[in-house]
Amino acid sequence: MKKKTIWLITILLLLGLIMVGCQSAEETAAPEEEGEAPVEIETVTVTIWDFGGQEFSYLDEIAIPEFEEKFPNIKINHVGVLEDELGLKIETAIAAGEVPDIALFVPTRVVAAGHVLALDAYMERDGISRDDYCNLFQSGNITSYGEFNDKVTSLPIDTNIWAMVYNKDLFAEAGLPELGTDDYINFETWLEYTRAINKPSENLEERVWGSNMFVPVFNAQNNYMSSPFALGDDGRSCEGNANNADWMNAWGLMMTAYDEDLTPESAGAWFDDIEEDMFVQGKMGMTYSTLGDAIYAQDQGLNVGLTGQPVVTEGWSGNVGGWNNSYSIMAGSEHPDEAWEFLKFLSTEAPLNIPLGSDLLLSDEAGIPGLPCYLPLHEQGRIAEMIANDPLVADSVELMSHIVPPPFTPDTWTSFDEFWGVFSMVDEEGMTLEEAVNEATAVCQEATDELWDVFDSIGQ
Amino acid sequence: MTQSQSIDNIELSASSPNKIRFLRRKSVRKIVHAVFVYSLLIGIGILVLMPLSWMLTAALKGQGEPVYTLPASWVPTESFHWENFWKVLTNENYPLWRPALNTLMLVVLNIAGVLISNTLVAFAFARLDFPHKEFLFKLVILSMLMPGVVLFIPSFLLFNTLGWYGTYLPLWVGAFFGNSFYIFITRQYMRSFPKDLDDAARIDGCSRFGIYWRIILPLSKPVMTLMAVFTFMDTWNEFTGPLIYLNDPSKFTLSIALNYFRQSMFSGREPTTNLVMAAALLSVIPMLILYFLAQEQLIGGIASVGLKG
Amino acid sequence: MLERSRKWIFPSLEGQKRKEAFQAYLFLLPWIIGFIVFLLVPLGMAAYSAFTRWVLIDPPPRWIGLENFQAMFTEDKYFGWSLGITVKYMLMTLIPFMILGLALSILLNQKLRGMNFFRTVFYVPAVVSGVAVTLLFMNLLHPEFGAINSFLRSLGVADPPNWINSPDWALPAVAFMGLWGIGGGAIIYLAGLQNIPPHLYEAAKIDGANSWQQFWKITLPLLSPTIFFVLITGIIGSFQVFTPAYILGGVSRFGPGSKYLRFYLLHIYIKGFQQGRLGYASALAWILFFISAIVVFIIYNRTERFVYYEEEGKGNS
Repeated sequence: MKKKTIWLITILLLLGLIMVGCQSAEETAAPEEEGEAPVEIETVTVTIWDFGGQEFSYLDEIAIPEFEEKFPNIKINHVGVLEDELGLKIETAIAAGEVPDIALFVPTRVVAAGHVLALDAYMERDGISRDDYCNLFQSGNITSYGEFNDKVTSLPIDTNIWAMVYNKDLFAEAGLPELGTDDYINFETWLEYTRAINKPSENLEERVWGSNMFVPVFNAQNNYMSSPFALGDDGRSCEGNANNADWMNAWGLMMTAYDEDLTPESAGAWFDDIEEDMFVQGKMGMTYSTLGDAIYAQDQGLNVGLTGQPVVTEGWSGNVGGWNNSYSIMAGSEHPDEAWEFLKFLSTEAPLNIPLGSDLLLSDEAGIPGLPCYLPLHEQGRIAEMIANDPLVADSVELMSHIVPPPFTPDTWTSFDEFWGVFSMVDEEGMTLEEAVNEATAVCQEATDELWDVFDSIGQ
Repeated sequence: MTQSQSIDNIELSASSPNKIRFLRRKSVRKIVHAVFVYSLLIGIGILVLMPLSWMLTAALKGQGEPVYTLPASWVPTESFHWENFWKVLTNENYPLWRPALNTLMLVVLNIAGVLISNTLVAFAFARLDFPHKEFLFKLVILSMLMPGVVLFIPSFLLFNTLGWYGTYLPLWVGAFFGNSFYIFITRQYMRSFPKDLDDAARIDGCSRFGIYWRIILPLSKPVMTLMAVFTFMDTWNEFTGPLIYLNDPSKFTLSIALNYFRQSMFSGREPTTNLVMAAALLSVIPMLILYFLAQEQLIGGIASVGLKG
Repeated sequence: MLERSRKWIFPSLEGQKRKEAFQAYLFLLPWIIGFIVFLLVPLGMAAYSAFTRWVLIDPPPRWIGLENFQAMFTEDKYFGWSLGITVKYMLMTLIPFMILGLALSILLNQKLRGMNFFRTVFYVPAVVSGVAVTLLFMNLLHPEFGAINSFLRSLGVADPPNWINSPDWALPAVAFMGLWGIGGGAIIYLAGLQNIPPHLYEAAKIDGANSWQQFWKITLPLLSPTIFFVLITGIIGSFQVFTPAYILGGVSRFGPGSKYLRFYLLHIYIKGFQQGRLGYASALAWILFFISAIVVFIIYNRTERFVYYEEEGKGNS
């Protein structure tokens, strides 16, 4: 028994060491950076980091092959990193001194610290102007949008609207009017519609919810259904939530919806996969989502329409939110020129051949969830056709123009995190709505102050 | 007379010594005991298995099928998409077979390191005498209390300086230098053998290393098995280390690949729950195999001790 | 020559003792090296950083003295809160888990057929990855659609708890997750149980002891080192809960998360990595270290005398 164990351990150890050896042999054998092939072509490898997976599979399936054909001397190495971790991985890579060439959604403080290349010179050289881009590009919010300190720090591959997608049949059944891109509704109307559509039932088969929960702060997060913006006009102050009559009104209406059990979240849990599922199954009247999702729902046989989200401030025109999938070139990149070629390609050419994909990823196909932010593409090829032929797509173009880019703030997610707990606080802890919102506002303020603290201190 | 009547007879004569003898009979007690144990185990076992069964049900659902139903589906009844398991292993975006192999390699290295280093160190604490022994052991315990998070970034910087970023090294070299947790339990375990063993061996001319190698180590199989099993679990599931240190997708480990499947819900993207569950179930299998083998060790470990006094 | 160098290192010892000490240190070498390189060095950095303002991508760390520690008590809304959650969790789960784990392992240690099978069955939950487990229970515990609540409703419970979002039921929900994997810890007890020589039981039976007496006089004392160990590690472990907190506590974008699950370690993660304040996170971690050190040492000193070690008899450490 003892001898056998010794042998077992030795064998396993050897096995392990062999595998380690193989791995390192592999990497020294495979040409990494400036591989010197004996022939004339000197290939350069450009590494690009994003969330990977099915969501960004359009890179592997469409964009990269096309690009590599055009540029035989550039190889693209696409690495997927889980969304929650991408920021951390970028930061540790910078600390380690080995950064990728291109990265998605570079954190704001990383940009502030100067670890990202300014693209203006490249753009000017290649005849691309900021004005060629959709209005969401012209914004101070640098994670998703393009500029910081008046320099272009990233380019978007697409622009995605957060609009309201609704089920026309359920609306008609409830006797509600059809909503179009010219219609503006407020939270009162939203509540009214939600009540009308909602069909309670013990049985999941028959249950129909009026809507998703349109948490005021979430909508305002990247999206600005009110003036002032939920973090104030300077992106630093949460105060507006608690002290603003419009905001409190919106919260009140949401709370009512919550109490009347009109939305799936009313049970106090927030699980998006259930909610989206519900809409696509025809069990929910309204939800907020992207063009790609609307198209997907349509493909599943639903009769859907696009319109703006409910606004907090009466008369405010910004009833659509959005985000762009934007990539930056890292300052530590060893091949900025080649990286630029790929980035430019992604932003100004690739979308022509990439189909619209569902953000829900319920299908197996690669795609981007929205139209390109690079406006000249709207008049070309497949995209022009879609706009001309599909009312949903045409509507989305119209809705894009409703977007009011927000003031810059380091990290809206973190700032607004606490607000999700408002309903719990009222329901479970017995606070009044005012108390709960105030409480959340206080935490929001603390978080925002800290974020700005770090942000402002960078480079001092 | 029927069976029940004969029992009645016994019961009627309640004060009769027959009844008491019947109940005291060894075979009856054994059966009652077995029934009791088995029913408890089965009862708890069902409770434990139910979530797993739910996982299996979810894993077998087709793409786009709702994983959540009311009432909940605990057992697979309609969908039997066994191909999900295959899909998870060989799909285009994140095939699991390669990360699985990578992780396996790391596991082997880590187990080797853990078994070697910790037994050596624990042996010294358990069976040898030396100055500052108490103090050093207190240091061991103290270092157990250190939350890993404190050391994470400084360790990261240390590994950077050593040039180990981008390699597997940070993920296994540490195992060869002892782990206070394992030193603690191994020492506790090794202390439970009588001192006479060592003395007897010394008298016979055995070197200290010989005592370690020939006597204490074989006796410590149960605790070594324990460490192996735990190390397997930890390495198999470790996420943050591989995430930070590895940049080359072909080097990624299973935990990264597994986590990949759960995509962010907040942007409205549906996590492929069915595939996540399928992958999670698959990843359990190697550990189960190890555990099954380990059980042999655990049982066979002490039975043959045969100590005298 | 060797003898002379040993003499130099251990001048106060004699001959054999010196040799023993020297060899002992050889055995200890891996740990000593590891302790210095992989612990002390990063620890030094960690200690220093607790007094700095440090953003990873904007080095170097800047000395700010005790500001971090001050901020903990004056500005940080979640400092006390997360500490409270962590302590509550520990109190809620430690003793029940220990007792249940012991009970289960005794059950699994019975000399009946099929125990291997049962042991494996109970072990499986412990090896499912933390992420998958949390997802699983998130699904099961969904207030409206989850299997557990629908089961409760079928039993007639009118208003089943909101679990993760409820102040009273969030921690129990995490405790359930932990309890599910209790078979994994049973393996420790099993090893301890196996370590008890069976002839002791035989001797006791001959002397007329019943099962209960056997348990108290034989099992428990001989198992006391194991129990002691489980207690200590249980305390340490409960201070370091992370994965369920990470996924359910709202750091990862699985939804807004629940502030009732803001364990201390999660708080550290948020401050350090999400907000980027590594110095502050380091300070927080040191506080955790001190608290757990105090707790463990108190318990260690008070209970070690109850632990029975074979080679020395009762009462020595």
